[in-house]
Amino acid sequence: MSLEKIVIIGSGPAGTRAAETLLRQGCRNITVISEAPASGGQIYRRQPQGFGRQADEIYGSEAEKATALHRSFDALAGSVDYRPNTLVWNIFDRKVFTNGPDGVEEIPFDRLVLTTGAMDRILPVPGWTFPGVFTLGGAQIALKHQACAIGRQVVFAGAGPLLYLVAWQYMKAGAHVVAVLDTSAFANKMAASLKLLALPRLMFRGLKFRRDLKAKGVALHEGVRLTRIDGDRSVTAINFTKSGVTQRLACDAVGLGFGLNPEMQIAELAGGRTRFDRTFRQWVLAHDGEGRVAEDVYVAGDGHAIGGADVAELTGERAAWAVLADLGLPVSAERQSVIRRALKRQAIFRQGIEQSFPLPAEWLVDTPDETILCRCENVTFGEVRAAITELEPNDVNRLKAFARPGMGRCQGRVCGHVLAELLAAETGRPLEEVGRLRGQAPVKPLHYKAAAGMAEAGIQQWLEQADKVLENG
Amino acid sequence: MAEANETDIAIIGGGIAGVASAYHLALAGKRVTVLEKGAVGAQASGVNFGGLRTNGRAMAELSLSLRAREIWRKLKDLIGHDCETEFTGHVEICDREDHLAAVEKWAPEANAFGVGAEMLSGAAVARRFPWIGRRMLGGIYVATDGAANPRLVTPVFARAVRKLGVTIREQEPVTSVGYHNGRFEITTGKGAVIRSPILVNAAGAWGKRIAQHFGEDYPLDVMAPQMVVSEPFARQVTATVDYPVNGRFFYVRQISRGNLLFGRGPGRADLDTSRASYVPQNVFDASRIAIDILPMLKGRTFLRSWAGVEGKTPDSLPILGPSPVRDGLIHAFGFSGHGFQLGPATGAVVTDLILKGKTATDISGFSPRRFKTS
Ligand SMILES: Cc1cc2nc3c(=O)[nH]c(=O)nc-3n(C[C@H](O)[C@H](O)[C@H](O)COP(=O)(O)OP(=O)(O)OC[C@H]3O[C@@H](n4cnc5c(N)ncnc54)[C@H](O)[C@@H]3O)c2cc1C
Ligand SMILES: Cc1cc2nc3c(=O)[nH]c(=O)nc-3n(C[C@H](O)[C@H](O)[C@H](O)COP(=O)(O)OP(=O)(O)OC[C@H]3O[C@@H](n4cnc5c(N)ncnc54)[C@H](O)[C@@H]3O)c2cc1C
Repeated sequence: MSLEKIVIIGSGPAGTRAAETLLRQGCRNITVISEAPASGGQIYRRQPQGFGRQADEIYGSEAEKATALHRSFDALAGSVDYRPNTLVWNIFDRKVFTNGPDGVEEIPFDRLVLTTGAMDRILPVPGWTFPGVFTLGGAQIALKHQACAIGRQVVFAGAGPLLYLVAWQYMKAGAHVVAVLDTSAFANKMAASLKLLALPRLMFRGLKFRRDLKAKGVALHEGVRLTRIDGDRSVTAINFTKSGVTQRLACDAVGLGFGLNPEMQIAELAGGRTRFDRTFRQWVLAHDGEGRVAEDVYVAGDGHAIGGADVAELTGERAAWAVLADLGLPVSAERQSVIRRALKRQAIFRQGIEQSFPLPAEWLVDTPDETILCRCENVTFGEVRAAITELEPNDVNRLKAFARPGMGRCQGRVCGHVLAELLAAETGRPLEEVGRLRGQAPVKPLHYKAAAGMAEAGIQQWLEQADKVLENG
Repeated sequence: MAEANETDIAIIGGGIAGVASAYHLALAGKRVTVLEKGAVGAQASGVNFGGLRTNGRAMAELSLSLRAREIWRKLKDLIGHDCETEFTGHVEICDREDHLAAVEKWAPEANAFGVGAEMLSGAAVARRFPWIGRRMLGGIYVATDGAANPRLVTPVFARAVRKLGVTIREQEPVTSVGYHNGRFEITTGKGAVIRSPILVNAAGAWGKRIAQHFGEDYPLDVMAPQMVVSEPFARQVTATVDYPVNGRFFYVRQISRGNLLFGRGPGRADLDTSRASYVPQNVFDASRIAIDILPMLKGRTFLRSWAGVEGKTPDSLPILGPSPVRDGLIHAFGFSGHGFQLGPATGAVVTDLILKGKTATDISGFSPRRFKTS
């Protein structure tokens, strides 16, 4: 048994499996914090109270896994200190800083398990800021969570497995999907097929999505280049070229996405190291192979490297075993080796996915100057290019300092990688050399009022004293 | 492989003090090399509050500060970019008798230098700054004070300086400094050796370490002023405000694009990593003060907090002047939390000292000799 305080951030597949394993193996002081109102994470997100749809309606072929995961989490209730609707916005001096229903709190920890998941990776296309353009994940959330579609005539565009999945889910839900515009050529997938066969079930599921979409008359275009989204007050059409021919499709909504980016800010604030991964063409957390990323800090799931839901469950459990080992509690060598083997197959499949859907970052050099790069701060490609040529920033943090991209509400989560790609491309340097935007707190905006609730008593006394002085004076 | 480089003047530190020195020296036709361990203006000079105030400064600093004010006014003509400089005024507000008495004493003395400070009654504070949500006993206002964007100033200065022929070597830390045959020999982390008859120590919070190469040990501490920035909203806060609470200043301004910036430290600084981190408790305390004096913030959020590494002397005045032990060595460091405004004039003074051996600016309060260094 251990009474060390273990704080788990995230209640998706990774967080759930971590909590479950730790509890089962004798940890008795576990806190699970999640911004989400309910467990399940992104993929097995639960519908709001009062929606009565069946699991298989929402989760399709993954219904069984979803239900199992929800059950596992529900079984933890009463045994862990669970704090939903609670944002973690900083880690400092071995304390987790939260903002939840009771305001801002500081929670000290002995060990920290981070399962913060991922968010959509976007490449700006001229017109991407029109209302009616959603991320693929956002489009999926609208459907899963609120049971509504993002438009009446929807085009899904971008790259990655989520592209076909979400299009298929929309089609199944009865929405009108005009087309799927896949920026990756069919040849890329052919070349990756051996790797994808590492997980035949998933590969055939992907092929089924395509077949079903085609059967329903949804146009599938592969190897396209997205050139512009048209709109006035909201989206009216999307333009693309394929084999040199330009086409225009009328639509009132676009789901746009190019894979996912791990949410690593919290890990960085906790001292986690990062490394550039060539296959993913993105930064991931540099852990020791079992999830240890800094002293007493462990990571798992899509928040440490994109791997999907099954990998999230596996790595969540893996991180728990690492914690247990470090606590001196018994570990199951058998489970650990089962996980290791499963992750090996997953890793090969993952490489296949990346090879099937490369990020078309080479577009960015041609993106027109007037296109918005950072929507929070309204910074255009032209403004960023001017800062690059005039002030010669050596890395993205400096570029941010000069021209403001990434300084707004989202802290560069959306545009950070675009900024890096652009800086690398415009200066002819490798992507890993221009760095990445440093994670900074608060990771999401915080109300002054909430922060003020934690002020020390001396401040209040000063202000009250001042009131007295003024009354007398 | 050691590569040898000769230059007239070597400057260690590419903050505002070092780069502004390079600027004035280059204008005078000197060959200058600046050595910067990271990027120019990436330390204190690049992450500060951007406040350009003469208001409230120590008497010893006013001569330098007023010279700086003149340079800031002409910034665009000098370096080709205004770096968002604005002269919207600075007010220090008082809700304690002793504080009010102190500023009442300061004002006439400062005005003798030409600061142009104006005493305000409590009613005048309320009338002029209706967005201050708290009654005050009074205040002191300098209309010609202002602010600039620190993220731009030093890099833009550096661009101008390069155009004048100065060599700025970035990502090149100075690892040792010696003196042989009438020349400084400066070795960098890239293995280069730079030789020059004159050396300027503008290494900011690290200035103590440079001075130690010459056996001078200055009582320089590190401090880490800390900032918080809000989401943008329509501009209401039209002047920079300073407000002391429990012995520490809370200072705030709103930039033209709408973000509100305030500061209250101290954060934590580390000279070895060159990083500072903010301390959450200061953010909480400052937020409490902020929503009290600026009620407009009640429903608003902040986006980020950070701190910067700065050197602090016991009397909070910089160390600016010739080294007492080594001819040709000029110190210009330790600005103790308020050297951004002074920066451009610091460069002018360093240039005076090198070219003429003296300066018309009164820097008597900054003498390195005021400290026992061995
Ligand atoms: C929008 C979206 C849709 C996706 N859809 C699919 C899909 O259909 N199929 C598929 O296979 N994969 C999908 N993925 C990938 C999916 O993320 C993983 O398959 C799986 O959910 C990863 O599990 P996880 O536990 O690592 O993270 P998640 O399931 O994302 O869980 C992370 C949890 O951490 C919480 N959290 C994050 N940051 C903080 C913070 N600072 N403070 C407090 N709590 C925090 C979140 O609220 C969430 O509960 C999707 C990803 C996204 C972003
Ligand atoms: C958060 C914050 C808010 C502030 N607000 C204000 C304000 O509103 N108004 C104001 O007037 N002042 C303000 N200040 C103070 C002001 O920023 C500093 O006094 C000023 O920038 C100091 O300039 P500098 O050139 O001396 O130092 P720095 O900018 O620190 O430059 C020194 C440089 O020397 C380099 N260096 C050090 N050692 C070596 C070496 N061995 N080799 C090569 N290079 C080396 C460093 O990397 C650094 O870039 C603030 C400071 C902070 C941190």
